[in-house]
Amino acid sequence: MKALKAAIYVWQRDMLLWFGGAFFLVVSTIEPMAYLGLYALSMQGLVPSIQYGGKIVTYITFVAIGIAVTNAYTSGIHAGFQIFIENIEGTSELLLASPLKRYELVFGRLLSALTKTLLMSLSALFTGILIGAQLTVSAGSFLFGLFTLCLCSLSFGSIGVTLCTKIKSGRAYNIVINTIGLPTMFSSSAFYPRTVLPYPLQLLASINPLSYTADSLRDILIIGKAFPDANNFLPLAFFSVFAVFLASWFYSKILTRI
Amino acid sequence: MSIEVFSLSKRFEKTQAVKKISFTVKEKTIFGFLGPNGAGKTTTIRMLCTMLKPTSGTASVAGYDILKEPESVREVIGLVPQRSLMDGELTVMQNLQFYAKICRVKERERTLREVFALMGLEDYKAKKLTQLSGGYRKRVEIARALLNRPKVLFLDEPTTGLDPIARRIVWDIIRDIVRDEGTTIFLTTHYMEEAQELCDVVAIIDKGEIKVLGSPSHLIQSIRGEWILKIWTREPQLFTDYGPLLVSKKTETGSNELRIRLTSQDEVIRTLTCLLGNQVALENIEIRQPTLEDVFVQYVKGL
Repeated sequence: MKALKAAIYVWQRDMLLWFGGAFFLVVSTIEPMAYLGLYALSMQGLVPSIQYGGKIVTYITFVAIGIAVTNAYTSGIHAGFQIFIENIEGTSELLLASPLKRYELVFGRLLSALTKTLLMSLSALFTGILIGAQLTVSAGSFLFGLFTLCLCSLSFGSIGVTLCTKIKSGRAYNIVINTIGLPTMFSSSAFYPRTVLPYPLQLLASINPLSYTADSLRDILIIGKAFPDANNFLPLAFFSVFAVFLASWFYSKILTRI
Repeated sequence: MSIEVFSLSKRFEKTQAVKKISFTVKEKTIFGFLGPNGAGKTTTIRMLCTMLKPTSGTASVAGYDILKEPESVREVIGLVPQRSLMDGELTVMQNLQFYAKICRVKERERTLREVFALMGLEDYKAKKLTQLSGGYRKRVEIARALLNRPKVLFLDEPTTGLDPIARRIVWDIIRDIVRDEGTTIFLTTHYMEEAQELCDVVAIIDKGEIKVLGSPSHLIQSIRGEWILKIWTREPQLFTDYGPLLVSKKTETGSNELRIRLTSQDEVIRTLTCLLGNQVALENIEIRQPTLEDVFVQYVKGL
């Protein structure tokens, strides 16, 4: 309980910084809108419809979920970058000299990443609905959808934090996440069904947590299932737990240094 | 003892930043840790604050071992770093509230009121840190470090970059903290005047090694009996003439400053008479007894 409380303090401070600067808030909301609007409308002419889970849907419907998921990925992976910013600004020095435990700091960071994810992903889904995506939304499926997005954000947020403990400079971190960013997105089922990919890419997609997030969300919001297929959801859940554990372990080891 | 350091060392790849230093700091005293840039002052503070693991040796702060009980150490210390590290985009109040929460301060509101009053920050609560002057930002940093009523307060060059008035205000605050709160202060500084004014004990560190340790008056006493003659001249050959006695020389624009160490008043008079008799063009003269700065120069430069 104490740990959760401390993580919430870190989250509150991040939110003050985030919401205090209207610029960040506006950009974070507009970016997914522009991303989905421009991409989906352009691609709609090329791929009018697509088959998912035995159901024919418009490409906008299909990719609205993909874009929501990639937003969860990017806001998650940038959680690590926030740590570099704090290292440069020096705030991390004060946090490290405080009684705050390292894992509490990690959880706080991940909570902040989750919040950003929810805002950005909801912005993408809302834009999708506005431009014609046909999503099956009920209260239950909506909540489970959010939960799935949170798992995705937690997973990649944790990967971001882990990378930050292994990479020495913010510049190098930026290069690494930019380098892996597009391949991670394009080797997943975010933009197209796994079945249309060449076999080697299908293999890559099958080990990519982004695919499991996108497909779990589609099970709920396109097929209309109350819960996603266990085949899609369980790998994501396991990956999340593993990634959070990994991040907490590496972060406490590197930054405690004692 | 408030701080006990035993054979503490830190090595960064090829650089030995701190070499087997040992010292103790008594409770409720101000301990000055002096040294030139890169001497190992900040590295020592970072080790004592459990932010950096020593390569060898150990230390205890307020009775807690920095290696075995780092979390307990962090609960009883406060740290004021060299530069302001709080969020500039948050207000003074928002920053301090956050740190009060993560330091698990009991009776948070009352404590905040008290530190605001102690640091004279009541009228600045709603201001963003970026809107404050350097002096006030430093006050906020000290206020933050005092929130958990630390037993030991680490001040890493607390007055660097402050104007003389702001610097004296910070000195008064430091004295008040020791007197009213009974806090032990571990202070690093470049300013010898500051150390002489504030510290009960100073240690001079250079290249990772402690060169000398003692009270400022004791250290000054150790080179007393000597006189410092500072002259400013346009005749650089004096550097050669007085080479063996030269403490330091500093060349400024269009002027040469020489510091000569002499053993008696008679010698001062003889030297001045000699210089004047030889028609040396003196621009200015200063005769004084040694200060902590001279002690520092002697131990760091070996002159």
